[in-house]
Amino acid sequence: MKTFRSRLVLLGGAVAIFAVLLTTSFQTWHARMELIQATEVQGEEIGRLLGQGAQATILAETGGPQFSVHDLLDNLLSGERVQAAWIMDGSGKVIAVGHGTVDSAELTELDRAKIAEVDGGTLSYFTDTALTIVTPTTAPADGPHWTVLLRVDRSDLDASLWSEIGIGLGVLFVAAFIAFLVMSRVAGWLSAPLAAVSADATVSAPIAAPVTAPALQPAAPSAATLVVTAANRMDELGRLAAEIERFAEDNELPPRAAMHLDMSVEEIVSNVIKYGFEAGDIREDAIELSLSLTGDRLSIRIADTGGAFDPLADAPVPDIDAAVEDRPIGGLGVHIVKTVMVELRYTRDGDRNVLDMVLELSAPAA
Amino acid sequence: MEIDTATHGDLLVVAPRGRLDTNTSPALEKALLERIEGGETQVTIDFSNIDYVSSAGLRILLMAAKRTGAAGGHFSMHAMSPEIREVFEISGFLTILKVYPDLATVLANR
Repeated sequence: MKTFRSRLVLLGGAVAIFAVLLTTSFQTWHARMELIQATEVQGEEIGRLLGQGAQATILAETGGPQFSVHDLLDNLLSGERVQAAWIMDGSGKVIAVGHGTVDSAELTELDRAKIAEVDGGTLSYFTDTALTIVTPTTAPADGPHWTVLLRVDRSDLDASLWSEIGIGLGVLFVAAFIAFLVMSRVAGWLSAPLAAVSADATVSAPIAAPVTAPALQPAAPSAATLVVTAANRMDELGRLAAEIERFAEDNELPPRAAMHLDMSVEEIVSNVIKYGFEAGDIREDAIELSLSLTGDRLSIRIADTGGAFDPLADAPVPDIDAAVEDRPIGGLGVHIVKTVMVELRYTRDGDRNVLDMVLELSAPAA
Repeated sequence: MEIDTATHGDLLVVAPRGRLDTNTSPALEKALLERIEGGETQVTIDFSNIDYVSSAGLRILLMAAKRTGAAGGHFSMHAMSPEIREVFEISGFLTILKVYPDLATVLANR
């Protein structure tokens, strides 16, 4: 039971941190729990990367093979100060980007130099408006090795953390933490989805930090993920279909579910290619497909950088009862997707269209 | 895409192989429309070797049904797997197109 063991380890880690709490000052402990802490008001170092132990726990939980890249991204972006986050694969190629408090952000030359330099370690640096942290995910040996680049708002790092929090809240925080540990044992939370420590350095509400991160799913033994990026060219459909077929085989999806997955991706991606981009505007990483299988539910995300286009609302609705002569040719794809999926949600996220779908593997026939 | 064809009297049996998707459907479209425009308006599609159909494939089949229908011909499909039959059902095609279990039934119902 990998899940049970990883939670036990996490709980063990929490107990170890608790022991540290008892032997050191509250401020030192808080520093371990938070990603960032203000240190000096006017000094050179107004923020620094803290809590390597706590951070390693966060990333081990979110960066394991059971989590998709967008789960990790969502988790990172839940931080109030996080302007933007990038996730790179082992070769330094960006596989996911998300925006938090800013609408758009680009990697700078400095960022690229630091990513090249970091080599599995952690480093941080300042610009006029932001603190940037580059750190690896501490995934298990067999998991993906990603590098995370976090851009954090610098403006509110100047206040003294200690004066803002005070003893009262500190005691409350400790009490909440003890209650959390007790409930973990009494209510059998070891076998239930365990809320992970958030990466959010929320100064005004430190109590909320350890129990947030609703994006995290329980790590079921059967969980599996796939992330593929594709250019907005029709010939990429074949490669996507091959990747899906391999994923379906590896995870022993029922043939019917595999076909519904295959069809839905083809319908949406071909629409995105047809309607989302100007002719000739070919982008190599225009489309990202993420699959995440947990038990009987397969979560499918198709994100693209094309113009705002909601395939669910913008596509014509076919009249499936029309006679053969009256039946318009086309418009069927979205109808099929809507029929086979149990959940569908479109969001326009910054400059991306994001379509989230859920397929139930054992859903009854339509 | 590989497309096998055979004739039974004036009935043309078209048997594509593999996937009928966005990238392979144009080949079937071309083959079908050439034969129909050449006067072979009695057509049935053999699905025994088809394991996947997307809306791009459905579009071709609907188009072929309209063309043969306009010429007073016959259009049907047979030997579909249950999974593919379900796609036709979702699309509403089972009520407007003829789908038979096998070639013998096609010949008997033509």
